[in-house]
Amino acid sequence: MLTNALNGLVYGSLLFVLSSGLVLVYGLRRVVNFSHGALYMLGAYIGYSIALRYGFTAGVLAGGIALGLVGIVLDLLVFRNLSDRNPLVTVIVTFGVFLVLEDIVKSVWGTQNYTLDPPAALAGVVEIGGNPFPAYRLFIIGASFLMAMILVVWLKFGRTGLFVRAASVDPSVAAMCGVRTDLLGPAVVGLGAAFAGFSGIIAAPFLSLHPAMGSEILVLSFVVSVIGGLGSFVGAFVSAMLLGQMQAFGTVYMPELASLLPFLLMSFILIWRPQGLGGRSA
Amino acid sequence: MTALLQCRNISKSYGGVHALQKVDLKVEPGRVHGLIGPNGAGKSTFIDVVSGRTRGSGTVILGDTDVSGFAPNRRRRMGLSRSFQRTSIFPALTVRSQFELAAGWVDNDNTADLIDMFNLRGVLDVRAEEISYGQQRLVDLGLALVGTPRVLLLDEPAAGLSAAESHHLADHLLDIARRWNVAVLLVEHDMDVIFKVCDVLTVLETGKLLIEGPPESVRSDPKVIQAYFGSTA
Repeated sequence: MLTNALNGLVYGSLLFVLSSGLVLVYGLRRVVNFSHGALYMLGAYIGYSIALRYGFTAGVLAGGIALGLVGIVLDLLVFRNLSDRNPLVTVIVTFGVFLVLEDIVKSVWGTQNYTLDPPAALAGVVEIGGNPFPAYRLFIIGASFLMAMILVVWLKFGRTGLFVRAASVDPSVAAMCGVRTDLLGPAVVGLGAAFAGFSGIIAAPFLSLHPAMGSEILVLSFVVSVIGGLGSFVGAFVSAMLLGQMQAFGTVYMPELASLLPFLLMSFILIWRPQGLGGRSA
Repeated sequence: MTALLQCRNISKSYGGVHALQKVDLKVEPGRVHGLIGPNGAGKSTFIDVVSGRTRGSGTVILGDTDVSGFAPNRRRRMGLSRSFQRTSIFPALTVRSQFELAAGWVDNDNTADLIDMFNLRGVLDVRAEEISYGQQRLVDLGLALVGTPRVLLLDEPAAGLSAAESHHLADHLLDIARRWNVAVLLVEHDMDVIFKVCDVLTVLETGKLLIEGPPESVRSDPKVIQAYFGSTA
C-alpha cells in the first residue's frame, strides 16, 4: 500500500512538472500547446546523450537548458503569432510542431528503446516502513517538489513573477501598464519548455526512452491541466497528485480499467466544476 | 498651445464594418477633451487604436514623436496612459501588487501620492475583486496615473458610479489635468461629468467625426441634438 502510494507520488510529481510548463504557456499565450509532449521527449533524448558522455547531472542541466532555448525559438517563430488566433489553428500548428520534433528525434536517435541508469549515488534502495523503495524515485519526488516551490515563490513574490501573473490575466492590459510582454513571452515559453525538458530527462531512468513517449504522456498532462483548470498551478498540482495515485493503485487493483480512470475523473470533475479544480468561473 | 496628443486620420475596420473613419483629434496639456457619441460610435475603439491595444491606421503623435508603430508598453513608458472600460483589470491581484506592477516601468514612482490622493491605503493588501466598485474605479484611475503620464485616455471612468462618486471623480480629473498639466481624453456617457470637466468636446457618430468645439456650442448644435442628446437635451 505504502509503496503504491509512493509510486503514485513519483508519477504525480513528474506529471506536475510537465503540466506546469503547459500551464505557463497557456496562461501567457493562451496557446494549447500540443508540442509539449515532444518537448518532453526531446529533453529526455538530449539529456540522455549528454548524460552518457558527461554524467547524469550534466544530462539534467542539458535537457532543461536546451529545451529552454528551443522554447524561446518556438515562441518567437510560432506561439507569438498564435496568441490571437482561432484555438483550432493553434491546435493544428502546435500538433504540426509535435510531429516535426518527433521526426527529428527518430532521425537522430532511431526508433529503438533506450534506458538510462540512475546516478550511482541514487542507484540503491531506501527502506520506508519496512518496504524497499528505489532512492531515485525519491529523488524525482524531491526534485519535483523543489521545482514546484521555486515556481510558486517566483510567481507569488518575485517582481517578474508579478508581471507574468498580470500578463496571464490579460496580456494587452498588462502591456498598457508598461509590462514588456514582448520580452516576457519568450522567457515564459522558454521556462515552460525547460520544465518539459527537465521532466523528460529525470523520467529517463524511471521510464524508458522511445519515440512514442511524448504522445503517451501528452494526453495525461492535458488531463492534468484540464482537471486542474487551465492556467491554475494549484489546480494542476492537486490534479497531478490525484492522477498519480489513481495510476498507481488502478494498475494494481483494477488493471483493466486503469487507463480509463483519468478520463472518467476528468468527466466527473468537469460536470461538477466545468472550470476545473483551480479555475475561475467565467 | 501645442497639442500633446495629435491623432490624424485614425481608421479601423472589422471585416467590412468601418468602426472609425479618418478621425482627427488633438488634446492639449492641462485640458480635458471629451469624446462622446451613441453606443457603437467608435469611442472605445478610438482609445484602443491610439493606445496601441488595437491595430488601426492613421498617425498618433505624442509630443514630437510619431508613436504609431510603437507597442502599447512603449507608448505607456513614453507617457501615453489609459484606463479601461471594465473595472478590476487584475481581479486576483492586491491593490498593492497592481501599483507595484505599474510602477515597475516608470522613472517617477508617484504611487504613494496616488494611494493617498484616492484614499486607498486601507485596502492596499486586499484583492481588487474584494473592494467596492467605486474603489475599483479609483484603483484603475490610479494605475493609469502612475509615473505621471503626459497624456491620459479614460474610457468611461464614471460608469456604474453613484452621482456623488461621479462628482468626486470629476473633481479629481479636473485637478489632475490642471495641476499636473496632463492632456486628458475622456470617453464618458455621464453628461454631468462631461459638461463639468471638459474644455473641448468631440462627437463621434458611426465612426465619423460629427462635430468638435466648446461644450456649450456642441450641446446646442442641431446635428448633435438629433444624433445623440435627443429632443430632451
